[in-house]
Amino acid sequence: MSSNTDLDNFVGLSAILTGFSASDLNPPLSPQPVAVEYLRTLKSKVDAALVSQLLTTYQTIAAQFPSDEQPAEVQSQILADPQMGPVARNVIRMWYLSIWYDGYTGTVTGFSPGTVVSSNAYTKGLAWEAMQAHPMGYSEMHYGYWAEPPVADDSTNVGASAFRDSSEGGQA
Amino acid sequence: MPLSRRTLGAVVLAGLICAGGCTTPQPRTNTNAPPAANAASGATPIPTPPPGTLSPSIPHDASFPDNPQTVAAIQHDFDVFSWQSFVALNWPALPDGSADPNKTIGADGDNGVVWDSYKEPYEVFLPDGSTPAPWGQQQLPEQCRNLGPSTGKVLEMIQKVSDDVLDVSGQPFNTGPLVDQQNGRYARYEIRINRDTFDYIVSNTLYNKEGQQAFTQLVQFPTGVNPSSQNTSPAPVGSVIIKAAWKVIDPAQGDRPERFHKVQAYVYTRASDNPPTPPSCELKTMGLVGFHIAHKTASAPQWVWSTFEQVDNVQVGHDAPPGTKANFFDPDSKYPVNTPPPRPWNPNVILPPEQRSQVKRLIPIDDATNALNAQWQAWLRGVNKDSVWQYYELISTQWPTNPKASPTGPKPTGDPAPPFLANSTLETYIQGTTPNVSSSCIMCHNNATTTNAKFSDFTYLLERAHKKGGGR
Repeated sequence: MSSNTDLDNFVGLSAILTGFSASDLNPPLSPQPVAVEYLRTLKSKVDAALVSQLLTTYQTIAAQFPSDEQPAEVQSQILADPQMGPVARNVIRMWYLSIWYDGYTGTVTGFSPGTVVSSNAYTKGLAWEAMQAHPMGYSEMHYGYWAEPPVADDSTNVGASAFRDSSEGGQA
Repeated sequence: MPLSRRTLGAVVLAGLICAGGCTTPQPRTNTNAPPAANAASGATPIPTPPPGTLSPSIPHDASFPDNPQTVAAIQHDFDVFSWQSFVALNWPALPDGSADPNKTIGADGDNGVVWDSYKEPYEVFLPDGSTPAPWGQQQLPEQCRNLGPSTGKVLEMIQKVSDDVLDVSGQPFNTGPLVDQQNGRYARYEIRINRDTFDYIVSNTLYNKEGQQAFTQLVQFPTGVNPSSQNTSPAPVGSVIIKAAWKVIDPAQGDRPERFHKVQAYVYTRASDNPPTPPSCELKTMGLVGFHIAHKTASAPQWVWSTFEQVDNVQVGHDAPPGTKANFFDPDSKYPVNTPPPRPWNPNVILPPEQRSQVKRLIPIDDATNALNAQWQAWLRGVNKDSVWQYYELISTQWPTNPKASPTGPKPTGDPAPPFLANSTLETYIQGTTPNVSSSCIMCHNNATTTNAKFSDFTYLLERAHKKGGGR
């Protein structure tokens, strides 16, 4: 499996896991594509065979099922899997919180120690975009935004194809 | 050789000045081809640019002929736009400040420039909040009116932002002055705005605090739009803001004047209590070492940010005669790099060699931009082998990869590329790659506001407005 294919599969799977579109997660003109950093982190933290199984499983789902059926297949084939499920849930956390949590194996009931992936990733956690807020110490929003009502942002496409992981109380 | 500049004070520039947009835009060439060579002689080939490349017309926006549109391809397009802008803004000027269509940049070695007729902030944001003089008329600051014969510009700022307005910064955010290796003198800075910018400020009464308070719309400066065969109405140039950095040029101290665009300028220092310093003014030959161009365009509502430097700033550049030293780096100095001089900061003091600025560029110029620089420098050298303009280089151009980002949304900056950009003479001490800390034109200027804390469309200048009748 080539690196480009890995990235495509990782972004495709992440789109289903996070509810953000693939183009939001990996904009074609992004000067600092965080998806590349996240995939690199995944590969550095998780056994190569398990990463390959995760991405290959998604690739098969994407090839065999129409897009509206893929979330259910990801639920049953990946999230319900005792090996791939915890990894996939950790990928969701990584996208939303920019942190890789070490305790990804087994049943996750809380948050184990983790590491911020990078300063670039820190500014791009999906949690902030979803709630139209910003991480501590970094904001692009204009002075005085806190006194104004939130502005709908078309690029924040949360929920359009969101997959909700009910097994974890909707942490994503 | 110092150039004779427009006379300040005694002479009021008359007539309508075109802010770089009056000449008919020429077709621009966006080529990846290497410079053509004149093979007539067996000696060094004289490069000839494609027709229209060296043009007095300021481009209204970048052109994007490349396909597919990758980050690298669009970066190239914006870099070409930067060089086109640099050439047009530094084109020889007529007495009214407009580009002289009968001359060519650098044909006489050095030349007066179009942007020198642009307005300075002190001419727009007057201490009493009154209406600025019309375009084409200059208002000298009071302290400069009795300083003797005026033969040049006034360079006062020793940091990129003036002390009484925390908008741009000593360099940005009072991080400290820059001291040249040859003379031990502080670099000086100036800001200029073009006519579209000036007219927008005046027509909306944004030059005083009351006018800004009454302005309830979102501040949106004019946007540059390329002429189109589908649109017969005049295409606007758009707002252009220039920031320039200058150093003292003294051949007796080892400077190479033939490698700089130069002016005769009053180097004015205000009185200060800390350290106790009387006001002073000196007539000096100053050489251009840094040059920002910010231009709001249709393809970049977050503005296009081009930055150039003299090639000898952090290392000795191409074709330097033996013995040439860098402007802001001495390999034998023990002074720590990218560290401002010791306090107190007194612009009147000539610092000893061991305390002069040691500047290192933390983000190298990328290979593609270096190649483009070589091409344009060769074309400028082709005009005149002694052209000073061949000794300038583009550091990079920052542009928004998502220009459609809403200015009122959570991500108004449009994810700039490159993410960080610094000029070694203008953002010396904030280079790096730390988000919200290191120099990034769009990210920084995204924080700019009016005096009543409203978004001011990526310029800090509106913060300089005073109340009517005076005061802040």
